[in-house]
Amino acid sequence: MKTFLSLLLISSLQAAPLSLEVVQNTAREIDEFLLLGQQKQNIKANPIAEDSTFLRRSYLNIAGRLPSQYEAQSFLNSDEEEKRTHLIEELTNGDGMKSRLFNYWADLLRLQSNNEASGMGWHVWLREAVDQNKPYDQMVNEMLSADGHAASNPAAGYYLRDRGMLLDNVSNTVQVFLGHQIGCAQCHDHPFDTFTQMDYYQLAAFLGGTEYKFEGAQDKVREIMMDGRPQMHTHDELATMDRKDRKAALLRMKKRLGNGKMKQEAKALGQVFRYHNRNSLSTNTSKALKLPDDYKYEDGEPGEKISTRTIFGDKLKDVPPEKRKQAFADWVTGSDNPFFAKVIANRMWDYVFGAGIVPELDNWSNSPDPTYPELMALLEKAMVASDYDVAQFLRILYHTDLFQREVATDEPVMGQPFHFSGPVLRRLSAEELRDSFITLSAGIVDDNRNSAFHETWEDYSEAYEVLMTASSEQIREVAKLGDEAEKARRAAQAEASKIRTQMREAKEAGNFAKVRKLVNEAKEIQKKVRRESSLQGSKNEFVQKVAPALVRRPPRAKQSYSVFEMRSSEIPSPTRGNTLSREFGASDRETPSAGHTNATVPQTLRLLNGFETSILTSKKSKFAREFRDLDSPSKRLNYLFLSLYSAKPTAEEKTAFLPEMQTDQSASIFAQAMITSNRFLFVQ
Amino acid sequence: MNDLNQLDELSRRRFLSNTARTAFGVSLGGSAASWFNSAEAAEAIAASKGKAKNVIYLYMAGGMTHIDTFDPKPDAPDSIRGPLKPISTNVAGIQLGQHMAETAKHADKMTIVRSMNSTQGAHAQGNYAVHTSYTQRASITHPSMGSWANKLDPSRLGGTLPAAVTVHAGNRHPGAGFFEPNLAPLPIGDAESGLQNSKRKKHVTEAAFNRQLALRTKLDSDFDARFNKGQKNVRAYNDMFDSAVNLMQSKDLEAFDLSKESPEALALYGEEKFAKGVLLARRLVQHGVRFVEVQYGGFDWHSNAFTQADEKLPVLDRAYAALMHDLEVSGMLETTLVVIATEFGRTPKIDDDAGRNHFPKAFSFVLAGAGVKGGTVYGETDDTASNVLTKKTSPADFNATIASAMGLHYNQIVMSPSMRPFRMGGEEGEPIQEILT
Repeated sequence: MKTFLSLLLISSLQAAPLSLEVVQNTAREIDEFLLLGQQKQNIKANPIAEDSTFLRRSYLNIAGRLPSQYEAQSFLNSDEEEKRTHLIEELTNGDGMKSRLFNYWADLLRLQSNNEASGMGWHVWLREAVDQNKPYDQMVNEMLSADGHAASNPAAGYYLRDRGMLLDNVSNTVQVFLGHQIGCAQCHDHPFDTFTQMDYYQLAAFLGGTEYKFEGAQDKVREIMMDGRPQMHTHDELATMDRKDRKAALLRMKKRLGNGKMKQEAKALGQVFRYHNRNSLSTNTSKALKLPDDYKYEDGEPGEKISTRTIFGDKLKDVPPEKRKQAFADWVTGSDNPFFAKVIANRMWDYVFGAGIVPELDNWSNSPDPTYPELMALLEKAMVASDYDVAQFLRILYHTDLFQREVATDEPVMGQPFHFSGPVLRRLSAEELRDSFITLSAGIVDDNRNSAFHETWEDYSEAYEVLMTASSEQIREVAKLGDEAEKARRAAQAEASKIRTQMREAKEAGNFAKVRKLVNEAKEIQKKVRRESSLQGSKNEFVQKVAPALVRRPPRAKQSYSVFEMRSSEIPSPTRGNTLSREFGASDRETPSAGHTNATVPQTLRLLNGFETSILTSKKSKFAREFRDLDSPSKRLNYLFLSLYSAKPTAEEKTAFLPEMQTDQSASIFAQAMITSNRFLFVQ
Repeated sequence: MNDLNQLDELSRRRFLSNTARTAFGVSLGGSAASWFNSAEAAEAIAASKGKAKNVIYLYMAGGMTHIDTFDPKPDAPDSIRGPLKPISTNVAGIQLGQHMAETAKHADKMTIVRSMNSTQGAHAQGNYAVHTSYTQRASITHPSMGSWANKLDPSRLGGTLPAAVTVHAGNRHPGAGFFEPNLAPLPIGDAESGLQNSKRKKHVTEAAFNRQLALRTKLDSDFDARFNKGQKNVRAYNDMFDSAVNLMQSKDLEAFDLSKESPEALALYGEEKFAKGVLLARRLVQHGVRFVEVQYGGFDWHSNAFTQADEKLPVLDRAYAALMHDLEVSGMLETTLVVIATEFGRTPKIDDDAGRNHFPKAFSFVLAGAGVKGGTVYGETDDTASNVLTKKTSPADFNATIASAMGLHYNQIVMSPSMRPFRMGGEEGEPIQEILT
């Protein structure tokens, strides 16, 4: 067994980017382990790939897009000896790397940023975690231990994502971070694994105190209701009274609250905070998880309260209620957990090479044994030694020889280990394809950050702060105006509905003059509905200030750039089903890693006849403009090959295709053919 | 949509079957019967003989009111019945809501299930349960009905046209769920513009297009020589390319083109977007598409319910009646099942804003045509349409009924990639035997 010399160096140097020497030594060690393993099994490693293959792969795998024509040309023309090393160094330092890595987390964690406010906050938080290269264990720990309102702790988005579906959230946590599928045990003992339903419930019991509600709102409403009403008492006050006084106090309060007017007032005040329950969670220390009503095993009774116990390694159990959540987070991410480091190391290997050493990334106990167990162990050690610095870990993998080899000609087969004679041939991911098209039409936009999205979130959090510290008077005012706005909106909506009915009738009667008139009226009324339903335009200064926190989701009017000038990572997700990325398999963000690269007919139709073809012809496209300006057929052919294939045409290709460059039209047909070709769609 | 990922499918199935064999001592695939051995399933399928070769599934998104449409209560107080008066139909004893006058002429072909009951009172969850027979979870997406049909009976895959299509369905449609993407319904965003990207760009002549195809082959010759054999996804892209080109040149593409319809047909269905969707569904089914879902949004009437009823219900009434008429005249009703579904009903008690709110406790679905009886009401609610009195039916039961009418094994178990068992009829769905023919 080798000593992990370079690994020791990693840990002594952590917290700053590693020196290139350490990175390269570790990469070499990984290559040696792999080669050793391959020798044992008579697997021949592929030769080192040629420059253009390496170039294209590096840009796509690291930066998540194709190189521009200039980038491709400057790399291919360079005769510098270390140019591959330098390219990797440059790319792993760039914004593109962060963009691609963010997409990866977003897909794995099912980030939905255009549904609830908390999703928006979570998006911003996750993006910052990538930007700051937050250590992975810390990132996960912050999400798993998150509590409170998303405005003050946006990592809570991880739990709020699955509001009301706590048990599913637990299944996903174990799958995503620990590589095990325990979902079956949610309803019965796992048929293919050792997990029992009791194991499942004991693990979920760590989160048994979870309540998806905003206690702050209840407190606030209570506070306002009590303002100027001495007969009302808070929970805390009640708790300090003796039994008799408390009983009397509760009776007085009940009498007051029975009064219809007060009830109505409480309801109206509650409306101010109505969306905040969706964006907050709390832990009730007196609440425990119970076994389901149909529990059928002998080790427990249906409905029985369950105590905490973890499922792997040294079993942590009977944690006091107030420490359950943090203990759970620490158990998942802690150094004693036998899977946490392994699973992420294997995922990152898959991220770089297209398959895991343990093939079933999400299902370790049902995966075939890794072909190279020593290598897997080495990677785990490197992950831990780097203190879960994912960016540095990836940088090491990109510096391996394996990353430079020609692709394997075979493909990973489900249920079988892959041998890594070279990386896996794969189709460009949906985001890579989209971002490559964006780069072609708008140039390099890796640093066009959608800061407006982040600002919208900040406005929301600030408005929330203001709202929570507002006086009773102010909140009462908001409640009143909110009520009026709601009534006005409903009236406007009814009016709109009537106009649409009239429009249909006019159409059926063939009265088109009337239809035209009504179309305009409908537009006006629609505007009115929008206006009425928001307090944003209110003349009341205080209401204006808190308006962003009064709606279910802050309106996202602002955007720093057009969507055609931003990478996928900058756009709230999931995007609509008809976008290029969704059509090419971008995740719908419903289940972990739902993104796919399977072929469908609509994809091909889109490349043949769809919107993206305009990139090749439209004056708005940088690609088309630059191409038109080139004066010779050979320059044009060069340009197309560099831009789309990241290669220069070979002598044969020149002979075969130069004639196509003669006219604008034939050249455009040729470019169209290129973007539908497999050579374009796949990355070797 | 053709045999796109058949290879993908094969290897996955082989994998599943290997795992299953070791786990259960049974095998997947042809001998599906060994998975469940259910006498009831055999019975249900024998009963219907799979009369419904096609399904047109109309989904009213937002939660359609039941008391104002298919479960009217003439004797309920005004505060519940509202301003809409029940009307009679062409079947004695069956009444519908006031706006359903055209539909009422087809009651003899319809089975109205008035005893629908669900536990899901929120839109997303209700919608999901109706579409998939399962409760929405964060750990898996279950397949929708059209994809189930593709899975259980792949015989309709492989033509130029897809076997399942959705029209005007939103982003949240569960689609193929955990099934392979090739079993997903093809989404049509706007019935009038038809299948997206299926026509050559205006400036591209046929000769130029053919030239483009030839150049692609040439450009890929090295790549394909190296990878076509060993890589199924490369083969899939080549197959898909051929299918797409075939489709563009196929006469079948006309299936998506509403301009081929006569002005009379267009007038019959109506001018609204939903009406065009229904007409498109009829065209698609005519051309061999098996399962078409058309959605109509805007049924979430929390306020001013009756203004909105005036707006929406006549559109549904007209398009539905036109469809029934069309299918009957052409004889297609004998092989086509028409469904009206929604996520839940609305509260019978009208609130202060003249609204009706979410009501999963009791609501109505409608079946008509192939595989089901006509002129029938199944189940019943109380005097105020608030409680199901008899024959309570869950969305899963309803879906099992559709499956049986289609001749599909509603309780055949299919394992998810995470090796959990699922059925078209959900965990406990059972078909409504007495309305199947």
